[in-house]
Amino acid sequence: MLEIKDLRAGLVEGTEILRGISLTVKKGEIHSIMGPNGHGKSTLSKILIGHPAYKVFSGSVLWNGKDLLALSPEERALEGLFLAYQYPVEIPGVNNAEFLRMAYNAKLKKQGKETVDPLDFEDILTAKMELLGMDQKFRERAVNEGFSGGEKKKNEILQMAVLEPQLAVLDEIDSGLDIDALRIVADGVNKLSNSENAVLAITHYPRLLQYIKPRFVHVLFNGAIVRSGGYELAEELEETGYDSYLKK
Amino acid sequence: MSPQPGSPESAFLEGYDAFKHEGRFRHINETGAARFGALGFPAKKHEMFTFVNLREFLAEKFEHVEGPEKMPSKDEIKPFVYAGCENSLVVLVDGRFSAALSDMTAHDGNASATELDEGNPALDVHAENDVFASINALFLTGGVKIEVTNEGAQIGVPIQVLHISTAQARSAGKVPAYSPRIVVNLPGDAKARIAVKYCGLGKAYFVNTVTDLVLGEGAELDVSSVQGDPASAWHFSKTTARQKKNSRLGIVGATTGGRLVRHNFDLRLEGEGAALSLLSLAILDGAEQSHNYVRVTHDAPGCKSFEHYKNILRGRSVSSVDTTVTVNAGAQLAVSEQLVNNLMFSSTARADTKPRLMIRADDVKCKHGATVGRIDEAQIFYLVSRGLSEKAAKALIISGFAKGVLNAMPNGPISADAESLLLNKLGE
Ligand SMILES: Nc1ncnc2c1ncn2[C@@H]1O[C@H](COP(=O)(O)OP(=O)(O)OP(=O)(O)O)[C@@H](O)[C@H]1O
Ligand SMILES: [Mg+2]
Repeated sequence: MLEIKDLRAGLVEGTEILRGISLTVKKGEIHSIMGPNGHGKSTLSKILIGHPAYKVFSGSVLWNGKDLLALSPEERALEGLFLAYQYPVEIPGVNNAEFLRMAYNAKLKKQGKETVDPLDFEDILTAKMELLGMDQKFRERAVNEGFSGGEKKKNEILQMAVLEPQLAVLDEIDSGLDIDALRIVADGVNKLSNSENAVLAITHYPRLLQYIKPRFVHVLFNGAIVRSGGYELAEELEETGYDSYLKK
Repeated sequence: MSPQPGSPESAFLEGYDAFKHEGRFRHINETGAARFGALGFPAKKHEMFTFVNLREFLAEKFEHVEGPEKMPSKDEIKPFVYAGCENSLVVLVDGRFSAALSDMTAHDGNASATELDEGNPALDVHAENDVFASINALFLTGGVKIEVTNEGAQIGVPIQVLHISTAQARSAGKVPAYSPRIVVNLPGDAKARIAVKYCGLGKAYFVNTVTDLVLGEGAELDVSSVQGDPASAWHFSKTTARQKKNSRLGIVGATTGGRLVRHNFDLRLEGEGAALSLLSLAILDGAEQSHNYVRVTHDAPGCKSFEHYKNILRGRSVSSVDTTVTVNAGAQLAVSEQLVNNLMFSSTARADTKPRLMIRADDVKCKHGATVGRIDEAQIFYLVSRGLSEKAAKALIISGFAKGVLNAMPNGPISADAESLLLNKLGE
């Protein structure tokens, strides 16, 4: 589904942040990326979604065999790539439910399907919120405006649930969540993952991984993936930290 | 003091000489003329017109018009009447109140609209400091008093105040000028909603309104105002409010622009615990100008005032918000907030803000803030990365910005009208 090869990328003005990343994610897989602060995890996620502050210098990213980097961010989203942001943006005045319906309809349109009216969408949204055990009050509020840290993260997962992406990149979806919320979010991820889609979860904590059981754990250090392993790698890192990498 | 021959003031006073003034309002006209003579049009650096460019206004030739040559029929005004307000309607055509077109039967005598009486205290213009309000007095020939008749009466159906301008000039090359005057009176514990709509029939005119709102103890008044004059219109307004103890006033204004729009608010919280909110939205394009000059005075303890202005500017349009909250000695526990948000779509548009506080009491909670900017790129990207086109994302963010104000209008035809008038302006 996703094939990153020797990706070098960074800021538009030229600073290199990613120094040769290679990573393959297949359908049905859950991957996790861990790594110290400031080593390029969020940068990778933003490069994948096509954020204009970042630039690819070399390497390639294939998306279902096509050149992902040639697609606009809008097209990437419509084709099923989803990024749950580490820091979701507040959009005052824009109704959460209305925004979600527009995004949902944009996707239906892309798939050549008929769009849904606000009443039908109400039902879809209610069902997703129930699935995630989310308070219905999120529906009528402005997108992320005044949401607590944890509420913003839940709202990202709600968007993921509604849009049903092929690949969900979750950038620290677990940070700021209380213990119950973490379980709810992890349950949501589990309920939504199936053999046709994939998850790439960036995290600092093995706790989330205990719930979502990634098949692969990667360590992103200094802009490159320096080690990959199974779930046990996360536990090992919890013990040892990133000291051994820093010393190298 | 007579103005210099050939000055804009003398042109206005020429109109005044031609204007018959034997009527009931003669002494008000004369006081207005004296105030106008003393005030004159503002020089460049006038404190009340810091950001207002009057050059084109002063170059225009106006003629005062007392009502239309022929009153329109009920059918002709129907398209401008909000659904549900047919029997809760006050109509002014070219500044002249029409009892025949108005209809207050929805209120079973609990609210009325009658010809303004020349002795109304609101008409005392000896101390008028706004030159445009003095012009209104100068040409005043009538007006309307909207009144809730009994204490505690709850007026359910909104009262629509419809200002229609026919824009028919009597002499060639002149722009008709109208001076509507409205007094709204709510006795103690009365409750009412007013929906003001301005509209005109295409050509240029100058509408120069003065509205006085008087709220008794515990009264509650909501005023929604949709300024939907054509882009060629000159629109000036002065709104005063005097609020007694525990009264609550909510004003929401939507401005679609015009050659030059200036709203002057003089709002006084006179009784303990009175509360006031003023929300304003303007969407401007081309060379349109919209200005707010606002003075809020806390005269009693425990009063609250909240102001929020939003402007969306395109083209070479210009907006300003000049607002001062004064908390007088003894008006302890005052709470006030002044917010201004300007959303700019062009580098040639201009938005000025001047929020100020003058505090003469020590226990107060006052804050103010202003933002000026383009649409936040991060917000656009967030929506685009969910599959919205850039155009859809921008439209959603702008309408979200506008709705912050529009949602404060009562639901239904009024907010729908404001929304369609304003948001249509944004559609390319
Ligand atoms: N837009 C930007 N402008 C300037 N510097 C940036 C920008 N984006 C990333 N960087 C820098 O690039 C480096 C990598 O940042 P990135 O956000 O990818 O780290 P991260 O691995 O996600 O860290 P964390 O675990 O703290 O979230 C950091 O040094 C960061 O300061
Ligand atoms: Mg990060």
